[in-house]
Amino acid sequence: MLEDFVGEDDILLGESCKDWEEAVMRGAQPLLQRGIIEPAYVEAIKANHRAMPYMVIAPGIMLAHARPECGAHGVGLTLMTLREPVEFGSAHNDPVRLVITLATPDETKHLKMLEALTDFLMVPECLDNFLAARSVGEAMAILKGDEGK
Amino acid sequence: MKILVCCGSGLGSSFMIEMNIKNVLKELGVEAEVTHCDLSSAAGNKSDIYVGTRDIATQLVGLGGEVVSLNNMIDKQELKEKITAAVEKVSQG
Repeated sequence: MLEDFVGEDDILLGESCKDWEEAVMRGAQPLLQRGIIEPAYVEAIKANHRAMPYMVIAPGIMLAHARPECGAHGVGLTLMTLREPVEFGSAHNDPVRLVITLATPDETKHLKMLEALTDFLMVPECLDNFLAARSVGEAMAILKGDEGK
Repeated sequence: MKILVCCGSGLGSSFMIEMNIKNVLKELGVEAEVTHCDLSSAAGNKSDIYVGTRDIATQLVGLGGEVVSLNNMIDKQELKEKITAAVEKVSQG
């Protein structure tokens, strides 16, 4: 389950970001602070996104990530909701309301986490409830499946 | 039948789509090999069906297989419809 991979510090709710670059930076902050990623990793995410906005994987959802060799030392996942939706330059999936930041030190260590994340995202009610969460406690309860199922 | 899912890095969305495709194939009762990779490796990985999100899919055209372009990666209905159509097309040869 997703709560096994996301701590309270990894949940950011109702953030105000003026543009996509600020949103990417803010979403990565908890991982930067714990040394799971280096600043270069955030720059690599931005470069990926500038090259092609393919990481806006669904309407309103940005899956921000880069390759392990870009400066990721551990597995990490943060979930950030935006107070005002932000334009990411995606032709079909803008504006973004949820920024998911993902880090993995190699090509396999994050797979269980991705599986849990996919299970969570595939249930529309879970996602809607998470976007409406007003406190970290409420958000954690939704991740655990205590609500919205 | 071989299905290859591609994304920019080969680490995130491609694996998530791969998992969903495997679930859909199980529901459909279709046997296929499903793998994922990054966009730059796609050309060297001959497959019957190539799958990617819309931005990626435009770059998969011309590799010699059916191309499935997904607008919404977490919409199971869209995935099911498009994969079913591609599988049928490939099966009919």
